Amino acid sequence: MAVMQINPTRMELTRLKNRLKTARRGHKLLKDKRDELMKQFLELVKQNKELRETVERMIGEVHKKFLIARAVMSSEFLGEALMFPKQKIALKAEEGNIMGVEVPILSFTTESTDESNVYPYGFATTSGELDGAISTLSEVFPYMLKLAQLEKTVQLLAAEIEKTRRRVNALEYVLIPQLTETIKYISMKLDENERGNLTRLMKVKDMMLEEAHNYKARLKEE
Amino acid sequence: MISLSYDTEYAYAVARIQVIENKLLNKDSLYRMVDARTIDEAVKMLQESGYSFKSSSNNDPYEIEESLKLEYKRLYDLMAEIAPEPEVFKIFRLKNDYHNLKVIIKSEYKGYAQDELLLDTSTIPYSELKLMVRDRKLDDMSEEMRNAVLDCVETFNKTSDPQVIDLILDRAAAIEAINIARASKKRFIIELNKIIIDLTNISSFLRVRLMGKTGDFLGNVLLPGGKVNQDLLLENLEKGINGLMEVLASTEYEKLLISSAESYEKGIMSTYEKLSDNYILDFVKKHKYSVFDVEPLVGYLFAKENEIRNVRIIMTGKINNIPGEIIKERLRETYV
Repeated sequence: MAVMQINPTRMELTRLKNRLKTARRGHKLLKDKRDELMKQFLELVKQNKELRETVERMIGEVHKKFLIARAVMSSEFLGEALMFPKQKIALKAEEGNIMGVEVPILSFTTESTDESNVYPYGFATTSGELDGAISTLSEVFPYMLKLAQLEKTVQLLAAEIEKTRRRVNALEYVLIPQLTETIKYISMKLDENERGNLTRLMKVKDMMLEEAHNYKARLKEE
Repeated sequence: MISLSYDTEYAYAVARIQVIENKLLNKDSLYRMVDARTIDEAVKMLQESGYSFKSSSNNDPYEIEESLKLEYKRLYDLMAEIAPEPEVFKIFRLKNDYHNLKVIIKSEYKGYAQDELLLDTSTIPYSELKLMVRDRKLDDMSEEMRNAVLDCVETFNKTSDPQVIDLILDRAAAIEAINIARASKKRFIIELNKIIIDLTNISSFLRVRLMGKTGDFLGNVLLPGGKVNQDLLLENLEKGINGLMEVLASTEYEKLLISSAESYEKGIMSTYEKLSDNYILDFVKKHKYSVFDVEPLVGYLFAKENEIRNVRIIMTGKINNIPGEIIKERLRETYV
């Protein structure tokens, strides 16, 4: 792991040590966040899967019914029957919050509260097969809306998890090792200096003692 | 009274019909089409019996729809050509006029036209009808139609409910049909029209019941002029099909209801619809052997419409890979 381009000074060391502490703390927090997000995500994904299966099953049914209605009615009569919808809905989109992630909350209100008010056509020229298709379609609508909300939430959560995971990894595998390395490098460098100093001092001491007592000359005389 | 000169004309028309009648697809051919391995094979069978297709690759449902439309057009043209009293046949084209009206009026409120939904088998060409409605120049319409259009405009402005357009026009169509039937002085036509109205009303009753709507709503839906008393239907809405069977016991519709009750209880309308189509076809079949009157012609008209319906069911089923059993279940009886 590369050591940072830095002056190996004591001040820098303290600074780096502080950074490392923050990084470790951040790492732990992010990791917790990731785990919690993961937990929520898995739960939502499970819900999502169930809901999607329900919706797909219902839509499949709608298609089957429409197909049969389509078979017994000519396309013009079918088109006329459905050209002008009767029921109107108002869609409301709000923001919710899961672990700091902004997620959509969708809700709708129908203009008419009568649930049987979804058939926009008369009875003389339409087939009863169409009624079934329309009513199933209107039943599936709330589920579809819920599914849209859930799928978007899951998507947003996934993106957030990905982001958090990248941050956790960056901390864990890049920043923290880098900091540790650099700290090690600085302390080694400082130690090295320390030892250099010590040796130098001892040498100076030797030289000073030599000068004061003149040991070498005395040794020769003996 | 029918003048004597009509007799010979009818003799000619009936003879001609009896020849082409034999070209109608019978049950065997229909079943063979259902069992055909490929769509092309089924199309080939259709081509052999006189249906025309633009090209040989017919997996496109719109192309089949086009060809069925053409077949309708031919049928009505033929009737206009050979029928000694073409005004009698107006009664059967009327529904197309009212269909066009619905499309035109709804287009107006929607703000854009959907001309592909207009039918050219109406009595008033749709281009003229469009201008009439646009400019509100309703003088050339029948009184019923004119009042209905005005009613639609007025009611829609008040309620913005597209369903009322259909309901008003369906009712007007029924009343106009009764007037034409009466004017024709033909017992067969009057009776046939009554049966159609009755069967439609019974179907509306059953459907409204399934939807869980109230009697007030049914009152707006029911068409006048049938043999079954409307009040009886309204009073028995809560009792569902069992109430209906009680009311209609020992009428001609009893058998029809009994046969469709079981599937209706499961919320399925298809059996009733199939059986009521069969009922109408049976009725016209019974009268097809008169030689000097309109019955065989009407018979052929219904038989051919019925055949086109069957072909649509089969081809839609084939294109979408619906199992043969489900297709056969929905096929109507045949005329020949």
